Amino acid sequence: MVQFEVVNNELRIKKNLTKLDLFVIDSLRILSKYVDYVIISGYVSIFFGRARATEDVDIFINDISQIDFKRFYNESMEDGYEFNVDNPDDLYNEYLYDNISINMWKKNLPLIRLEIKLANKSSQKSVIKNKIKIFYNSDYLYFSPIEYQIAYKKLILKSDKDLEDARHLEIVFKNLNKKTIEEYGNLALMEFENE
Amino acid sequence: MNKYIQNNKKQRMEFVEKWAEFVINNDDLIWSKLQSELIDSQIENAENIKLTKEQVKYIKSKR
Repeated sequence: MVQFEVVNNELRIKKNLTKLDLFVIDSLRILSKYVDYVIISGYVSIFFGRARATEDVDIFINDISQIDFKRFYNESMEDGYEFNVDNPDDLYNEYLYDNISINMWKKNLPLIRLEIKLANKSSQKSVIKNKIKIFYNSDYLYFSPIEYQIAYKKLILKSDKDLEDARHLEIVFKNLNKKTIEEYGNLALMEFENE
Repeated sequence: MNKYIQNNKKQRMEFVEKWAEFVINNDDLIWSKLQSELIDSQIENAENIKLTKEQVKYIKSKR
């Protein structure tokens, strides 16, 4: 039995990549040039083996300047991506900085989207600060701490799908920090109740 | 809660646990090959549907 284990915020895995993985890798290749990001939610469980697909790959990003955002937008468009709004200034001001996520997808394939949200709550900023670096095959991606995913899915989201995602992570990872799960859970619950 | 729904949830969770056990008991290249067959087939279906972004937006708004 070999469970995944995060050591010093890193983990290495050699796996067959899905088309979903390739989409995530390609889109984050562009985004990561302009801002720190972290992958959250369902795709975390999927990357580590959960047997399901998803339409939305959720991402938190740190603050980004409007100039860098426009550069990111232009490079993405040149590489064949589309966004839910065609004007980058509107996307930046009326979506990203108004707490509404922005969506990007490969042209002609809008059923698989990167959903980018600005991290503005303490728990969200903490997730970026404590991200884990996952080396896969010959490259790497940044993921949210697994403990945060378990706490958020079990205490805040709580749908059947989320509880199943959390259970999957509890089984495939070893040495998860129970105290950290509790701390993330308490913080997320407090933020959720104050909304 | 309806017993049928309860049983269904229980069965789904049991399958999730069995699959997770399969993941940790097999080489990453083995489970990921099976996983990619499942996920890729769903994406290929999505590619064949060729929805516009307006259609996707509409579908999303109805959920």
